Amino acid sequence: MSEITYPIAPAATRRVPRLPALSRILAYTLLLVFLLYVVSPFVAILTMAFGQGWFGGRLFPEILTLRWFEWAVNVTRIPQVLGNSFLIAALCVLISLAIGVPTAWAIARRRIPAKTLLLTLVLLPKTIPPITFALGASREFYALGLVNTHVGVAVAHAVLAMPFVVLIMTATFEALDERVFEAGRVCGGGWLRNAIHLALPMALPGLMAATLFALITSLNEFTLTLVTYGPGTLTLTVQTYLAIGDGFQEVASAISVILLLPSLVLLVLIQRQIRPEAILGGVKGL
Amino acid sequence: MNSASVAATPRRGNGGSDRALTILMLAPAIAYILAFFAYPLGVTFLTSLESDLGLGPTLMQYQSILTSEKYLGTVWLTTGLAVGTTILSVLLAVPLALILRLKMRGHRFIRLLILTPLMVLALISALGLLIIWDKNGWLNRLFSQLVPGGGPLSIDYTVPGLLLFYTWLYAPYTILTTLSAVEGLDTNVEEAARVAGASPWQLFRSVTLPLSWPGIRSGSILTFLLAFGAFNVPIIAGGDLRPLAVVIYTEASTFQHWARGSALAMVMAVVSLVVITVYLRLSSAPARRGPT
Amino acid sequence: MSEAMIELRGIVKTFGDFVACRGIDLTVRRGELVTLLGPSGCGKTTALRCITGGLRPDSGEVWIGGRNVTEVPTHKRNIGLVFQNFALFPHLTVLENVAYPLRVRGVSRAERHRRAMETLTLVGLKGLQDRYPRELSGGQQQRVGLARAVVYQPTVVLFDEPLSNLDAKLRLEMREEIAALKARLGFTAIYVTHDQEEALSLSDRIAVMESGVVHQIGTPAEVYTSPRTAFVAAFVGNPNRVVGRCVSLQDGRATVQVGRGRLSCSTGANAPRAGEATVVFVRPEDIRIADSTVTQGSDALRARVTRAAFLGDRTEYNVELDDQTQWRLRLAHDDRLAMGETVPLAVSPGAARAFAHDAAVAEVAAAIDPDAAVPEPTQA
Repeated sequence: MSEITYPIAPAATRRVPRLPALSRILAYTLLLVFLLYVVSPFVAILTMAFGQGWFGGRLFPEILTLRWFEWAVNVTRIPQVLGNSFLIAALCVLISLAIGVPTAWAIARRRIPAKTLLLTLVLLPKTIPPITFALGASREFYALGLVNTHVGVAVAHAVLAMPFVVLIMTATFEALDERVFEAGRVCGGGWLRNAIHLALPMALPGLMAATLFALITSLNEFTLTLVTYGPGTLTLTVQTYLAIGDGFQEVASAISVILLLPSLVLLVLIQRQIRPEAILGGVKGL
Repeated sequence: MNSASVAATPRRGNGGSDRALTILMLAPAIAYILAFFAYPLGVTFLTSLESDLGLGPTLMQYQSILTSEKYLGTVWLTTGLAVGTTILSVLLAVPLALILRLKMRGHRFIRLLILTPLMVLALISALGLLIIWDKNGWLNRLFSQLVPGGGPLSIDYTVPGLLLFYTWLYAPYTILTTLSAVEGLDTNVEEAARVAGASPWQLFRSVTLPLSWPGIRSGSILTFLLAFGAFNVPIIAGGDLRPLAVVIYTEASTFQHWARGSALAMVMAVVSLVVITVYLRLSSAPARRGPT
Repeated sequence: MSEAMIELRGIVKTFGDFVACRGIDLTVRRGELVTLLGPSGCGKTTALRCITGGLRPDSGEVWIGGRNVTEVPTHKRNIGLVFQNFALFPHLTVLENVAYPLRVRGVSRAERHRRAMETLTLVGLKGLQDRYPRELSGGQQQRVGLARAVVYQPTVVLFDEPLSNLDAKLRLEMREEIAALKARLGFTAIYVTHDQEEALSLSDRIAVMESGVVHQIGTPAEVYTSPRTAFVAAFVGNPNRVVGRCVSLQDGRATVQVGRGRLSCSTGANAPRAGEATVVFVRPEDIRIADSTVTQGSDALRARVTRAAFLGDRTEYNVELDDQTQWRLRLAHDDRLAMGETVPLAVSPGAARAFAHDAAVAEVAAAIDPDAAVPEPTQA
């Protein structure tokens, strides 16, 4: 009875029971099928981007080559197009954060009559397909001289990104505990200090998620870009579309591989910080 | 959001300057939406009232749309594809979420994988999917080897094909919210059901599903909307199947039928709003439903 | 002999490096309420979960109602469980919550509602059946949990620290409720708690656990007055303790030299041998002031009064022994003691309990505070 040490008991012991063997096999099968399903187009794209002479019934491309990448860089001026896409995406993020964050704060923490109505209004752009107002937008932007400007495209994208920002940040701000701010005030901090030292760190995961979604939305947006772009603001989505339309699938594939890499890197980097399901998770109130 | 934090959220009193501040915070968003969403929508609406003959406002565009078999067929197609995608997404999301919840080996990787369709240009994924599933593509070769005599699965440019692609692209939204809802469940409540005698199926149907339903619902709405408005995918992989978004675009830009295109756009907006409202009504809060 | 309704045979359960249960044996007879009592981490909750089926033991067997349920999944064990955090179904009304076990057993709607209402009335919640859990107070929610656990007359009812989330006054009330319900329905139960008062008042027998081992199983009286090990002695109640040296051991009685005095102690397991360092436990209520005619040379313990606290029905004194050990006394008001006064203490023979020092050290630390240092034995 003498030599007993007292290690800390583990915090969470399994409440969810383990599956019996048959179910386990089924579960892994489902995961495997899902894996293949999701990965399949990537495999095709990679093969197309690096291969030549693949179409027409062959199992594998004839030769491996980098010529499509050269083509992408030189002929279609991919670096420039990439630059456009990212610049526009960055602008879109800035705009939607600048507008969405104060809105989310107001909805979450201030007294507002008809709050549901307000939220519905803010979410409206996402409730109907962009094509419905894209036509009108194109005319309006033309009149405003916003066509073929980076800002113009970004403004259009922000219409779609802002609802995400407001949704995510409202959930984030609602979860902030007011008592922390009270403690901050008691310690002598004014509202600005509280905002920077307390609110910001606590809201950071939500901000990152909101930024991520705004970025993705902008980079992926096609319809609105199509009606607001010009030769100087050619984005990846439009460029890819044109390339495919012209029959250059291989080049299009090469372009997407170029884009895939930073996306994957970003994904790996953030997976430690954000639990993917938590990104949209706070959003239960639709 | 637990009750403690709700209690701790302040509702500041409404002094005059307070209200002004609130308005100040809300103004940019409201102005923005009015300027760049409501206004274009209005323009679209007005355009839809134009006639081909350049006379005053008229409903003739709507008339011809609503009486045209072709256009109505398009509406059905678009709606059918969207509903089908949503159903498939939910059918995929729920088992996946339940499995991921068990945190089996490799679950982290799968969770990341869920995000990948969001990170890739939809056009590219469509292209890739097309190639894989092509008549002479890998999957068909594999399939014809496994099933001797079975002809190649030709799903390109078919409805099942589009459903497959749409689901690939838009299911992640449903999966994310479903996963979050399922993992947010109090395991004690599920344990209580088990102790009370509920078999795994009974547990799922009477406790797990109702309690995660709000999460499933919010993600699936997003999936529906995206599938309904899909444009770049059907352009690549639709072939003769042309949903609303494609038709609108071709009418407007290719044929320069701006009025017709705008009218179609308005119809599209109305249909999507109606479907969503019906969906929300039918799936109202579980507390009000609840068979015993 | 009444049949065994619950049996744990050699239950062992490990989580990684941490051994939660080291071979637990326990038998609960029909109609008994046995409490698993111990500090956090002692393995009581783990043992309970092995009974519910939430955990699979690494080795050992679980028998319920005469059948081996070790491999049987939870939903087929026909047990009832009352949770610490209530675990009510938030999307069902109170009535539906209580009727749920009957629903999954295929009982018709009318019938299960009738039986649920009966049980709800038993726990005093009639009239609340259409409310939702979130609309109820903590005490009310726990009653619903109680009702849900007994409505289908399970073989055994398990309680997992059910009163820990309630405030003190409510706890007392609910304790009475549970006792009344048990008397009324006569179910067999295992109760898990770290609150010894709860254990003492509710149980037919108590199993005192520590570090995955059962130290003692006995009636509340046995566990309180005849603790088998130092851990039980230290954990149950709030005893005084002191370190001394054993002078002699005969027929289970140990004479222990403490400072300049001597105590006649009963012993349990790990009795001290003559000459060995010893830990002695004495409960405050077993100490009296010795007859004032006792002279200086006797072997009564002497202590100096350091503090007096008026507790309503009695006065509690803090006294200091020769080696600076602090003790507490509880005396009636007329036994007035002055601050700083040195008084001789008398302990009824056998009321003190002695254990060998080395064996007792680690156990006492576990009972009080895992990080506490235990005083070294004094030289007599």
